[in-house]
Amino acid sequence: MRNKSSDLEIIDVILNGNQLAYADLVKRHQSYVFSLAMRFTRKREDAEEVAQDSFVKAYRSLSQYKKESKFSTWLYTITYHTAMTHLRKKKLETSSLDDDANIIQLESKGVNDENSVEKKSRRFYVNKAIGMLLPDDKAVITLFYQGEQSLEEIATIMNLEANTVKVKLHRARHKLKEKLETLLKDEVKELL
Amino acid sequence: MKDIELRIWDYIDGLSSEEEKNVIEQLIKSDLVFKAKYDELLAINSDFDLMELDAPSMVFTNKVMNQINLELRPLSAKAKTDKKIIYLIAGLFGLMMIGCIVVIINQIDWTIGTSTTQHVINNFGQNFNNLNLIPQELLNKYFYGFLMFDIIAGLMFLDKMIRKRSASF
Repeated sequence: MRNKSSDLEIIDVILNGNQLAYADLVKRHQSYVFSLAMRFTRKREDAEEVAQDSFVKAYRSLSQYKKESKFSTWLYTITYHTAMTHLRKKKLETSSLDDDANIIQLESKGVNDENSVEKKSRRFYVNKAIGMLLPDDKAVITLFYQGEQSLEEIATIMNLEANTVKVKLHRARHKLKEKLETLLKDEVKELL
Repeated sequence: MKDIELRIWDYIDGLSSEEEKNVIEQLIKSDLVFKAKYDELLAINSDFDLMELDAPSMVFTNKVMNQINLELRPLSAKAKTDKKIIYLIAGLFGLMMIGCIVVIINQIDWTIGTSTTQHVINNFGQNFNNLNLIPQELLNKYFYGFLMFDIIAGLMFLDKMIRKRSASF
């Protein structure tokens, strides 16, 4: 996994004038930043734009990074806020678990497009269920499970209290569980 | 049931206290309903671990680096500021202070028993007034202002120095 001290070493190299070393940081964190961006935008092109903006913003502010938190936490904070700004700007329609019509639309679109092997994969349904959560719920789940951030770190990223994040995480997991069960039930029905 | 779920999630996430951990472990062993719920949430947790990271396009790093090349280098504060400049400014400031003190001391008439400060100010003002550059009253005000500024700056510097020293201990 990522090495915290390595990140800090690279940052020192960059701050001493070696601009090219930033490519190492980008390569190391791009999948996490891009995945987080995807939770807000859905479109790959938009997510790439958000991720790219986040890396450029991080580069500009690198000298202000105080090294008190993990570099990834600092970077995800920038990504989270960039994605939120992007979301506000584009006024994207977000899907909610309470919005049944939206769910049906997503289900009918996605299932038919995917090949049969992927269709039966549990991973496919987990990713699909996540796609149906609200952006903030997606972000909490992504940061906790994929970004390996603690509740306190997620609280820093999202500018919330750690307890609020805990409640959000619990609710998001509950919704995800329900959605996953619905999706799998539908799959069983389809097979029958 | 919600409360049970929360407790189990805390246990799975490793957020339970040592005491709570023991209680939950006991419940898993003894309570079948609790055990079923634990197994269910554990399975869901494993499902969440299946989540895949999305990968950006192959040229993503290059795109970022192309944009970075157009940016100014984010040098650290240490690299940005030449220490010589700081020493030069500090030296000039120090010289100014010493110069002022020397002038003041030179103007003191040690034989006079009245208010020394007032005498110094008057003397200082008179000398300048001989040149007819600045009115006496204005000169007095400026002198007081300058003296006050120096005292405040000196106190601030002293405070900073004491704080630094106590922090290092």
